[in-house]
Amino acid sequence: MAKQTKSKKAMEKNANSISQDSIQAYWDSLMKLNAESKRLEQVYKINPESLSIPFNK
Amino acid sequence: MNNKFEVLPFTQENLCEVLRSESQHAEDIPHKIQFPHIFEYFTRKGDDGLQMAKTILVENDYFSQSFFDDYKTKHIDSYSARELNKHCKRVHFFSLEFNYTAAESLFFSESLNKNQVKLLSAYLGYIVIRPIQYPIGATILKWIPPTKDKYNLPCLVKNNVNLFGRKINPYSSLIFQEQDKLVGACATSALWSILEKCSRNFKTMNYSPSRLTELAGENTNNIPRRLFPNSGLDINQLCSVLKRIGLDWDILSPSNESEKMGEQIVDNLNDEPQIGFTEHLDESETYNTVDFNYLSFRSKLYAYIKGGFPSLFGIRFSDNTYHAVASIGYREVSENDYNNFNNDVEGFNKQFTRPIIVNEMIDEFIFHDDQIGPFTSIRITKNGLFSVWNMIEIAKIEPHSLLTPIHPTWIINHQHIEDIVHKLNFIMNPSETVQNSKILIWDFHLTKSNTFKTGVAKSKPKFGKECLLNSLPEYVWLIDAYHSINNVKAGEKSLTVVLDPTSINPICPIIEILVYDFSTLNILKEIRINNMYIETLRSYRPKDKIPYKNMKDNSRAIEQLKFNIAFRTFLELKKIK
Repeated sequence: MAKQTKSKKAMEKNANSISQDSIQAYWDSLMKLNAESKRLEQVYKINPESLSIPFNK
Repeated sequence: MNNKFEVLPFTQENLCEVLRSESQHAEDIPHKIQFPHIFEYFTRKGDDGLQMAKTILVENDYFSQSFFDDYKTKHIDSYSARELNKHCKRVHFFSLEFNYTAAESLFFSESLNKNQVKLLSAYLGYIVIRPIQYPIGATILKWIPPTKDKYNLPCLVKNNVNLFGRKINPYSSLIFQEQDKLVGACATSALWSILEKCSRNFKTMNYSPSRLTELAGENTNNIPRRLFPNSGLDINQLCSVLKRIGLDWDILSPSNESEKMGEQIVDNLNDEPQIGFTEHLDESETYNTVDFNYLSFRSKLYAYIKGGFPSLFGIRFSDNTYHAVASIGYREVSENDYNNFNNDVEGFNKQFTRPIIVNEMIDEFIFHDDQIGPFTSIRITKNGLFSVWNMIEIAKIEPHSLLTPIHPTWIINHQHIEDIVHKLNFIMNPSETVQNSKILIWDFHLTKSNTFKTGVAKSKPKFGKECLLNSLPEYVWLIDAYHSINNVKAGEKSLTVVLDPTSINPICPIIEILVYDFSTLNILKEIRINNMYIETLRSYRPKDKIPYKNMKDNSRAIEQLKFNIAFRTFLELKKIK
C-alpha cells in the first residue's frame, strides 16, 4: 500500500513537471511516424486485381 | 539377380536414364529444366571433398498413393492412356559406393552388420518416377547445403522411409514434385508441398494434387477457366482450398502502381507550411515507396518460415506470366548482408523514421520450385529476384504476392506485429528522433510456445523468467530486441516481447515480457512512470490549434499514443520496477 502511494506520488510529480514545450516536441516526433505508416498501409493494402491472376508457369 | 531393383554408380548418364519415364527417351532428359539442378544438387561436395551422391538404387515397382489418386481422377478418362502403367519407379540415392550383392545382402540379412548400418545412414533421399510426360513425382531428399553459409530450414518435417523392409533413419525434408499439367500447375505443386507441413502444424489432412485442384473450385475471373486440364490457380482459388481444409490465410499482395509518396509530400509542402518530417525533405531525396516493397516480402517470409510456417510465394516475370513456389527456409545474415542492407536502405530509413528490422536483412530464401527443383535458392533484392546457384538463366522477375496458410483462430497477423514493432521502436529508441541513431534492432517471428519456453529455460533474463510457469497459447508471436552494433548489426539480446496471435485486443496483444539487461529494465521503468503520453493525448485538439491544423492525417500519432498507454498499463500489471 505504502509502495503504491509512493508510486502514485512519483507519477503525479512527473505529470506536473511536463512542460507544454516538451509536449509539443513529443507531438512533432509523433508526426514523423505518419510517412512510414502510409508506406505500410500501401504495402498491406491488397490489390484485388492480383487475386484473380493465375499462376500458370 | 532379379529385376525388382538395380544398383548403379551415380553418373550423369545413369541419372538421365533413371529419371525418365516409360514414355520418354533418355536423350530428352538433359533438356528437362529440372535435370541440371538435380545433377548439381547431388554433386555438391560432402565432408570428404567428393560429390555427395555415389550410388543410385532403383526400386522398379513402386506404388505411389498421390500419383494413383491423380490417375483415378483424370488419367483414367483418357483413351490414349488406356495402357498407362499405374505403377511408378522409386529412385534412391546414397553417399556410399556399394554394389547389387551388398544391397541384396542388406535386404535379406536377419541382423545388420556395421557396414550395413553405415550404408543405411548414407541415404540421401528418393525421387518417384511417374509413367507420364512429367515424370518427377513425390520427391523427399535430404537437404544438402550449397555453401558453408548458415542455412535454416524450419519448414522441413521428419520422414520415415522404408526400403524393402529396412527402416531408414528418419530424416528432415519436405515433399516436392513437378507439376503434372493434366491435374495442376505450379500453384498446385507448391500448395501440395506446403500443406504437408501444415498437416503437421495444424493436424489437417493431406490431399493429392488433383484433389487440391478440385477443392479450388471455379475461378472468379470474367473468363472462366476449366479446372482440368488445369491452367493455373489464382489466389482466390488457393484461399478456397485453404478454407475447405479448415485453414485461413495471410496475404501480401501490394499494388505495383507507382505512388511516389515522397514527391507528393514535397508537392504539399510547396502549397502550405507543414510540420513534421516533411520539413526535412529535399526534392532530390524523394523515394518511390513501391521500390521498397521487397523489404516487406523478406520480412513476412522470414517471420513465418522461422517458426516453421511455409508460404506460397507468387512471382511475376517480365512477360507478365506468373509463377508460384513454396518457401521452406532461409540463409542467416552474414557480415556482407549487413553492409549491403545498410547501403540499400540508408537514405530511405533516414527519411522515413523507422526501425531497423533483422527480418528485412534476410535476402536469400530456399524454395521448392517445381520448374527448377527442390531446395532452390532465390535472392530477393531491390533489383528483383535472382536464382543463386542453379544453371538456368532467369529473366528479370519480381515479387508479386505471398500467401501464408494460418490457423483460423489467429487474429493478430504479420502486419499487426510489424506495426507493434514500429510502435515499440518509437518508445524504446527515444533518441532516434533526435540523433537518428539506432539503439535497438528488432527481429520478430511466429513460433510454438513450447519452443519459446525451451529457449527461455536456457537463457538468463533479468526479468520475466517466471513466465515459464504461466500458461500460453499453443503458438506465440515473439518480438526480440537486440542492442545494435554500428547501428545495423544485432548484438546482445535486450528484450523479448511475447504476443498472443488469438488476442482480441489489437492495440496491445502483449502477454509476457522478458528483459535481459539492467539498462533496458531502466528504460521500461521510465516508460511505466512517464505521463507524457497521457498529457500529450490530453493536449491533442484537432483542427483548433496551430501548427496541427495543417496535418491531413495524424491518426498514426493517436494510435501510437494509445499503444503507449496500453503498454504502460501492461508494464504496471507485470510490476516492472
